[in-house]
Amino acid sequence: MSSKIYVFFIVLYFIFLPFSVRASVQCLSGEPGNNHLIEQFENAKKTSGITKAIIKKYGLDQIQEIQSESECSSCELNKNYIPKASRNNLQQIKKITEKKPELIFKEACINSAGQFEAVTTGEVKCPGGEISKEFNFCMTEEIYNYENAVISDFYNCVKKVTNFPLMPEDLFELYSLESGFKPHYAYSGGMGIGQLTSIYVADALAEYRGRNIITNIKKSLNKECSIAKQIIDDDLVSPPQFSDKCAFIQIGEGVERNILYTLMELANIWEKDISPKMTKFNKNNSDKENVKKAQRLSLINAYGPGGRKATLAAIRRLSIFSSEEFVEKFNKPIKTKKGKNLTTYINKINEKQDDLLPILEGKEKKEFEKNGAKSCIN
Amino acid sequence: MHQLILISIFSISLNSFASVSDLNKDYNEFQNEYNKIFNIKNDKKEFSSEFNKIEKELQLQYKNFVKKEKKKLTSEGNQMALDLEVLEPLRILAEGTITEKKCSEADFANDLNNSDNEKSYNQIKEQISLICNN
Repeated sequence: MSSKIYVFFIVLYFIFLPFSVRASVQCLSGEPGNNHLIEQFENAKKTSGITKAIIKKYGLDQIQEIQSESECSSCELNKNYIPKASRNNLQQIKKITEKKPELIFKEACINSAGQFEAVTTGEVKCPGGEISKEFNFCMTEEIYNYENAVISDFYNCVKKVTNFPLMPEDLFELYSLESGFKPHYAYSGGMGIGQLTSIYVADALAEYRGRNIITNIKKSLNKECSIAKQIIDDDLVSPPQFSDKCAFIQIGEGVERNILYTLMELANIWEKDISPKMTKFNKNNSDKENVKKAQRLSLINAYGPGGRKATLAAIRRLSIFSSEEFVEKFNKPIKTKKGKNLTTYINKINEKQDDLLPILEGKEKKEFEKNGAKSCIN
Repeated sequence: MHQLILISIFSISLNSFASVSDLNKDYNEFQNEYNKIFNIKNDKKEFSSEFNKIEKELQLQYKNFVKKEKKKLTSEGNQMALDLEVLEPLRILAEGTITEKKCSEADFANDLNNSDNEKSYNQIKEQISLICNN
């Protein structure tokens, strides 16, 4: 009889083991046990060439391995402890110490940016595209690291093939405001990590607007563009439909497309709209330090709703000033007679960054207090 | 001496009051001129020449306004700058012959500028539609 009870408990243990492992995954945001995104990511690891390539290129599987090694509390006490990797074989050590491209954002900063819940915005479950305001999916360090790697990779690519002026800290600010790096929020005004809109996707693909950037990525021989190319190749054969939400949200080729299109569209707006408008200002201030900052503020502001025309108006207004004054005034509201603010988006970006400060802790908090988003860059 | 100071203060405040009302007058003139754009006949040929004439006048008025503003960034000046940018889709139409391609580019530029279907967006959209479908 007692052996039967013993066997019963063993069977129970193995039935519930997978659930207990899942439940033990630490949620940096979202509801513990609400594992939809974790499952999506696990599936992408097996089925998506893009996900596999990113994980390999940035050594994300090894980050996990090193992290689980360091989680062993007794290991540090044992002087004779040899990491599991060393125990396995030399090849493994070589793989771990091999120089991998660096992730552009610091983990602590991304984690802080994700500490919010957009209660009124819908969350999308993929691949079905079901929407609810109450999903509150769990976001793990592994998923944030993955997004960090995708942004790092595509940023390096777009930077290589365009004259994109943005710095990594600008992207940190943008994604913090748009989604807090959560890939699954969507509403009529924007979708996914970059809260992309249908008009921006159409603009990035338009022959006389963003198409040259897509073509440049496709033709590029830079290794930085090898993964972005996989998305471009697919999209040139069959352009993504904005109505298919998961094409811009699902981990595997959705959140990645969202990141790539955000960056391509920013480069497009810069090339076609903002840069031509700033030519005279750039020339008049060529020796000044803040010119680049003025350009970056202008481009970021243009990304917001109605931001393009507002930014062009702000440039028209501020080009008579020195680059220092341009930057100073751009960071404040510029109100119009009929109640619009030409710098709404930059003002919101600044407010969001202020909100992050109380969430950060220790060294990161001190650095953020001193240098803002710049301190979030590796 | 007291009287002299009072006269100076009075003349300075009168002067600044005059310049504010002067700016208001210029702003209203700009708005009147601006509204003429939405009354241009829908004839394709007439539109381009009429639009270019009005837009040139608006640019000039804005330039003079900025000089009078003396780097003050008034809300009127900010509005004028925004109004000029909103005209971009019509500017596309007015450059050379109005073709189907230009009409779709103008519509697209207007959509890019849109936020919350505001009045200026609908005004321009209607204008494009009237000219292009005529």
